[in-house]
Amino acid sequence: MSANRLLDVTDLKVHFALDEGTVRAVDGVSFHVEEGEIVGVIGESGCGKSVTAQAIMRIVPQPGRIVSGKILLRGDGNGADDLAGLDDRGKRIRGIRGGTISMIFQEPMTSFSPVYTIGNQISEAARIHRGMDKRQARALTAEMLNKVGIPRPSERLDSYPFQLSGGMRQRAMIAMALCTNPRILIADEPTTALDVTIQAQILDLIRSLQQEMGMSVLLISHDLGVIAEMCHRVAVMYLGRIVESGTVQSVFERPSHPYTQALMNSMPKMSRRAGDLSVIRGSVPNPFERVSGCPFHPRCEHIMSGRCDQGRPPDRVLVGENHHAACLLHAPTEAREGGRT
Amino acid sequence: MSGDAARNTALLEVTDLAKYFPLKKGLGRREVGMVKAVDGISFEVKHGEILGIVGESGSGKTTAARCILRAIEPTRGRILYHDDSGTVDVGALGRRELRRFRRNMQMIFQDPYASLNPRMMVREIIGEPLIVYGVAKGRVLESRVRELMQQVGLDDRYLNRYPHAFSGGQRQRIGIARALALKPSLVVCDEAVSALDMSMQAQVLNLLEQLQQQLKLTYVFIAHDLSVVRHFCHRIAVMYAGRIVENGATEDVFSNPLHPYTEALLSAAPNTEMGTRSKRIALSGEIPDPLDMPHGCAFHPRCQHAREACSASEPPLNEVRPGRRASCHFVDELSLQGI
Repeated sequence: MSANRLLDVTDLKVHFALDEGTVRAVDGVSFHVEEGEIVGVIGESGCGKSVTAQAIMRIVPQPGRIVSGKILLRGDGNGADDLAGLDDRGKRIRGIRGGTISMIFQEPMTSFSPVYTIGNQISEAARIHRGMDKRQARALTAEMLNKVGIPRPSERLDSYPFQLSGGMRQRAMIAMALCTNPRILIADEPTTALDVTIQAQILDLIRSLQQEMGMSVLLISHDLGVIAEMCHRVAVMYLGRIVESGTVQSVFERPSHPYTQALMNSMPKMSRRAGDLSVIRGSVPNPFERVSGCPFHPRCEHIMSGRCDQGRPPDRVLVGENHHAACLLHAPTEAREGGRT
Repeated sequence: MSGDAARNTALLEVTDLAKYFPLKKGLGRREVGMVKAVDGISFEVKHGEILGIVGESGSGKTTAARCILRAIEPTRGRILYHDDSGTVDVGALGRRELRRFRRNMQMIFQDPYASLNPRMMVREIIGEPLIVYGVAKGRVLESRVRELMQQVGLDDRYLNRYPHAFSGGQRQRIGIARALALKPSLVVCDEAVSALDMSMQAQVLNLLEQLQQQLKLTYVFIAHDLSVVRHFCHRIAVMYAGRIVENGATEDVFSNPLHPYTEALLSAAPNTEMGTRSKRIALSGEIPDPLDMPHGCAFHPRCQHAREACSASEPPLNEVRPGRRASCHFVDELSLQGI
């Protein structure tokens, strides 16, 4: 594991065993997050991006289970914890969850408890993870609320979540996530429920706090624009797998996997009006059906029959500097199916 | 009417439309204030045109659309509907007349999960308006439903399925088929693609566009996603705090915004086109409390160009040049940045 890799996920698989069959929500995902870096995960609903985040926090809902893979979190000193191997109710993960790794969610109304004041909820995190007494925690909470741009923080401490607007609630949620001084912030669709001007405020806030506090951010979004503006590197997910990854610049300028290309072409542009939008034919298959070969092949425009529909495509074919795509189109012709580069 | 000639005449003319919701409190349900959700807006929609209404949540765009259909009763204002058979004053229609008239105007909703009855089969959902209006029954009904399903790209073998068997994009197609069943001339799309995934969004937008051309439909398209509006609408009206602050041809509003709010909105939208971004104008604060509107221009507390005059009086929505209106005191002085 390279020195500045804070989080290193290898071949993670999370399956949900249901009566109707097994849903392979995350099906062999590998990526890493370096220190001080913002990594984006993008994909449509059902691609497994949120389950990946839940797996890192060890909060995958029942009956989901991590069936294999490693989630290495580098500690302060030597060695690393494998989060995938921890007891999800144990002391170790409870210290990391909300402490070393914090998370903010899409809907700030449902992720706060409606019956406690926000001051109460934020200071609870500070008391548990930083061992502060009530007064210290309250002072820290006021400081954090101030930092995230909530006016009159010492009064706002005693507000209930319903008394704040959506934008203010999301700021309070960020204050709660950051009061424990996390090294990694996982943001799962943090601005999806917000209006564009408020979204711009929250994204600016996350970026400036990330720089100030030197933490890493794992940003999950379905919005290509948000990812393009915020992230250093990006991973594109489809049906539980990462189909393409690389620097944002490289992936957005030279998308290499047919899914990424199709996604970008199907999006209306701000600066000009194209004719018809190009569409991805068909729709995401039923989660119980297991697609053989490349998960995207039934919808792919470049399908090579006899190759794409059999065997798993290579996970990481180098298509540019630090830019990989899981596609046979880019594999050297002699590459074996299923081989890894 | 047909073709280009039709394009230039108004199908819908809205003048000074307003909707106030009284806010009641306490035991006696005493009225303590008035939420001015829509506060005097005027616009027209031409035959065969797609008019976009954009704005953030709480700006009044959905309330305005509902008032046009009289799904809720406007507080004041005039809604005129013109077609071959003359002019109808929608606001003055009695209950029975309104019911008869409503088949001309239909609505497509945002949430394809909440807007379809889970206990009705697709044939019942799409066929219901035809039955209610006594247009068709029996064999004719079934063949019309099949035809509608094909028109929106659904396999008509799924006639007897329930909504849960369909994906979000397919459900939205069912909603579209239902809206088209009575052959309306005006369709109000209220955030019709906002709940869909990116790849589904493109499919539904293309479908709506193709239907609009095929059936000579007129759309009022309510959306908050600026890139969708840019792609889809001929003209747009930008709403803020219950009023239209700017309107005009889409292309022109995007490249030359005349109101500082439009400028800020355009610059706030995330953009995937690397290197095209100009400097973002960070808006501070939030949309004003509807019970405590700022005096003068509603946008002035957040506006970087605000001066004294802005808090003193409210700027009217003046015509700046033909087809372009903006409500800003300093419209002639400011040079704002578009995309």
